[in-house]
Amino acid sequence: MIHSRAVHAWTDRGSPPPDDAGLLERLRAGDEHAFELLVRTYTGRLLAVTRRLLRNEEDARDAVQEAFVSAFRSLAGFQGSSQLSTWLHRIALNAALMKLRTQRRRPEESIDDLLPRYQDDGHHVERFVSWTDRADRALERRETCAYVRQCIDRLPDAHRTVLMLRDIEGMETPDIAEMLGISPNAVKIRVHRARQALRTLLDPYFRGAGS
Amino acid sequence: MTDSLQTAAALSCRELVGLILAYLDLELSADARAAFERHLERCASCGGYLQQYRLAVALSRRAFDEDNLSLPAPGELERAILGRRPRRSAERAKTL
Repeated sequence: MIHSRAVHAWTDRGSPPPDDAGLLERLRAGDEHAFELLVRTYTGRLLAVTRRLLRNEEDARDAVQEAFVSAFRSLAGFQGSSQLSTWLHRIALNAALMKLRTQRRRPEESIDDLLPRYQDDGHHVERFVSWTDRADRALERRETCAYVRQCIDRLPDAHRTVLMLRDIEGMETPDIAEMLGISPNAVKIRVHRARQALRTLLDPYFRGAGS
Repeated sequence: MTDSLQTAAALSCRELVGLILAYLDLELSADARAAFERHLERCASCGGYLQQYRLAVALSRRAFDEDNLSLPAPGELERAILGRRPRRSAERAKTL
């Protein structure tokens, strides 16, 4: 069973999704209006997903299109064990990951440079002080959201991807491992390193709460 | 991620940081969790690090929240997708 915070966010906001069972039946029968309903309901939502991963509008749109084509082909085999929205979300993520593999690699910062340093006895070199309470509230400002996104974009791709899948798309570790073809332990290591690196990148801003 | 630590001995900061993900995911054994929390009680710097780590996760989630609020899809994209929907055989014959 795939869990997804992002998918739940879809259904919490805006118009309710169409009834899955009825829609599926009509799609399998080739009902033109059912396809229109499916596409009009989910294209914007899937595009938000692929944009987050791909950071390139053309690639994001291509990935959504590929995702729908893949979904159309798989309709007969879809057992309905998960919600239609969850199934489509997963297909869109896969399409975006495929596209990501074809994108030209960007120059990346070394993740090791963004991890904490330790003395020989295992104690921190640096002294960490809690970010001010205002850090949480600072995110209400649009420029702060943009800053956080920029910091996530600075992470090396392999780490950025697992961070996005786990913390933004809300996927569980075993599902991410299956999707990326790596072990669950490797996913956990990457997520942890990505979060630590993100903390380092955010620190100068949130130490002063963006003031 | 290792949970095989020497829980009887005190954790170092490096060991504690290595366990943060498992701690937040509630995957530590009772002994390991107790050792983790004992270290936090006497190490303000690790307390600060954990607070920042938690906030970094929360902030990254909230930074993308608005994505799901406004979801207008480009019409040309919807049309392109619908152009690739499977056709019924009769419909297909008509278009030939």
